[in-house]
Amino acid sequence: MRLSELKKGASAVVREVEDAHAADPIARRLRELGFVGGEPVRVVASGPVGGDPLLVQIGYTRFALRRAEAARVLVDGGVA
Amino acid sequence: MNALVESPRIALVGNPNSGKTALFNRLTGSQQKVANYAGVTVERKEGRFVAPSGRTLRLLDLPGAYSLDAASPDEAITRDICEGRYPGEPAPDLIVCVADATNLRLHLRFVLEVKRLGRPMVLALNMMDAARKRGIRIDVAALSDALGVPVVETIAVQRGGAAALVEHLDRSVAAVATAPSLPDSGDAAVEADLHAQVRAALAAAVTMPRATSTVDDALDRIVLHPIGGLAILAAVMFLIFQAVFSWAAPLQDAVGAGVGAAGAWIGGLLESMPLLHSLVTDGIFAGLGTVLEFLPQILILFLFILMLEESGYLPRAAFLLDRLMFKAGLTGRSFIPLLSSFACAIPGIMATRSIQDPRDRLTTILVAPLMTCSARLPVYTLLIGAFIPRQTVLGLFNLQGVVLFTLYFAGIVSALAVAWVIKRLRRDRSEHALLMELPSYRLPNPRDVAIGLWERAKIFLRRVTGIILALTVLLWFLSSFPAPPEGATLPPIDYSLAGRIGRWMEHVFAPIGFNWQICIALIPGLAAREVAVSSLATVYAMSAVGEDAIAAELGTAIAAQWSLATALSLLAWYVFAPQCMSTLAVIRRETNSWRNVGVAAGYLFALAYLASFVTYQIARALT
Amino acid sequence: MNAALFAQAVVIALAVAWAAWFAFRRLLPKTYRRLLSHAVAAFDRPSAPRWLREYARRAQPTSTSGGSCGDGCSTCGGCAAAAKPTVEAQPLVFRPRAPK
Repeated sequence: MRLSELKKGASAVVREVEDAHAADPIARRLRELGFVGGEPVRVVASGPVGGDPLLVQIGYTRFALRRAEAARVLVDGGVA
Repeated sequence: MNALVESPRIALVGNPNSGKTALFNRLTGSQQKVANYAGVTVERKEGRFVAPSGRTLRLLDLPGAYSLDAASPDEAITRDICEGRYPGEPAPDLIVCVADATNLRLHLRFVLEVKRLGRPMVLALNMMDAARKRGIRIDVAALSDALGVPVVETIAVQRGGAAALVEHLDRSVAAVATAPSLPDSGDAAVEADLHAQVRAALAAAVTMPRATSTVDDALDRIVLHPIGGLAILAAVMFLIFQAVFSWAAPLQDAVGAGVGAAGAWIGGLLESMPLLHSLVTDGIFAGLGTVLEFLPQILILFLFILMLEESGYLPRAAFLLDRLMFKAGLTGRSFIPLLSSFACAIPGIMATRSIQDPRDRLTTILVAPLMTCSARLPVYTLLIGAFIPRQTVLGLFNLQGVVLFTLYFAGIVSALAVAWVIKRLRRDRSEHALLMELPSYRLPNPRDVAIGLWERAKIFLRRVTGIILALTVLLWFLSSFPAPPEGATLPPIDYSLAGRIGRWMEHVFAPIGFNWQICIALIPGLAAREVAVSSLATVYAMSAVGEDAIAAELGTAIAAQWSLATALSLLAWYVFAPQCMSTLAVIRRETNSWRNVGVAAGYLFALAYLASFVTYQIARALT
Repeated sequence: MNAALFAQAVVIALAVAWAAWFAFRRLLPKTYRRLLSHAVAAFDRPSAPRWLREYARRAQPTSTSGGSCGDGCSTCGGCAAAAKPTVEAQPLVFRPRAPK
């Protein structure tokens, strides 16, 4: 399952970040921000139009991610 | 000088919004801009301070970075300096890695990355006060052991909050001179997963009752609510413009009355010298006095800007509006630079260094001048005050405030439209990343806000007594000479150089309703937008025939002489016009290209002329 | 010409000269520095008296402060502050990432 498919308020655990293409800078940055295997994440809020962007809590930090970015993150154990 | 060059250099690095600049200000006593969002500092700033031992230490404040694998121009500066690759600058003697104690999981990763550089370093755990308040307990000794880096606690916003750091720097800089302290532990884990190390360090040294502060959770539920959040955003914006008009009016009248009285008194002393009398009353007092009246409004606007910046609300606003920015082809990262442009386009354009994609960055730079900078406020309020009645609409809103809001809104909408057109022209299909951190909320510190306002007032007064005064004197000179011939019937300005230039320009600007007085004011207005107001005041004071007209205020004068269509047309002009040489200069510097300057100036001028033309013709047809 | 009118001419001439110098310095800072450094260098020659050379050396313009703001828009928080940026802004160079 992908992070972008999580409902608002749902929690999950990161499995990995997928490169959308070779040497994907966004995927690399996501990993640097802490989206690595085993980290719990939670979708805290979503934007007013079309549910975009998502506000994702990881660790003690909140990041705003657009859906295309969140789709790179594969998660386990979430409830869609 | 030599001693200074040889004094040890210390670099402050760390994640964005970890309080590096606050620490820098605390240590060096300077007043660099700080705010509660990522990416305030985009330049390398240098300062120095004297340690208790008497040694002078040089301190570098660097832009925040999530990683040394730089993704944006500002991160690249930090990377280059840390690695000793910055042109003309050796690597720092000591690196102070600043981490937000309430956000260690993210920030320690960068600390470990910096550690891998193998340079002497120390970790400053900043915002310890906030951490304690949230019940976060950190065992400093255990953390230092787990990371293999010395650790000190700091509270950058508190007097004496950096004492431990200063003491440590003083000691370890002395050690650096003899032997590099703290060699890298050298174990194979250096290349292992940094995050695993962070987790281990946290487990060993930190107890955290819960992941986020309850206040943040509660506020975010309201502020980021799909409907409620947008309503709050609209209300906040609206409140600001209402306040700019309603609160400032009494202060403005007081300033105006004071300046008028002083002008009349000094003018009385100079009766025997008619030319000097004209310079002082028509030039300096009419011109500068008119601009000075807008100080209260500018300060009220900045009061709101400073409070919003400090509170951490701005990134939330960016979150709510992201979809709109996305449609226009802008990245979410453009929001902060564009918002800074409401103060002034120059720091706004510099703030685009935090944007990763060079094309996104250029688009943001090109549309930043469309955001209504505070220097336009005097022009707007002058015209609104003179032409828009002070009445209440819908039983709640001040009509003048509504018009001001509309003008700001027009700037925002056209910026989005221009960005959209640029995207189309480039057939841009690339991805625009957001990846924006939302900081914890913070209550604005009244003392910091007061200092910020005082700085603002100083900048404004320095401009009034500097460039605006100089240009006013020059304009007065050009409007007085050559002197009128014997037996002249019109006011002297009609025969002067400025008068002739104005009449010549009038041919170009007549279709958009500008008279020759406005045309004259447009030229010095290029140096600074407020000068257009002081220039108009000077020109009208000098065109006044007879003694009784001289006392008339600029607002009254233009209300009597201009048509509503002309006033609206000038307002529309100022929404777009590329009337700021410094902005063009900074575009040149940041993009390193005259072509971009030409593009920006060209399209802004074309838009301004078009908008004014349409406004003038429609308004004339209707009135 | 009586004394009052003469005083008036002097004051106005000084005011206009100051305004022209100030505007030139603020609006064309690079040209100003170039001209000033040429002019000052002319005094700093071996045959000049010592005090003049000393003065010329001190009048030599120092390097620019990074952002030239303050001369255009009213509000540049970053540049107005006390810490002196010493290096001119560098044009940006994007380097490809090093492969890991």
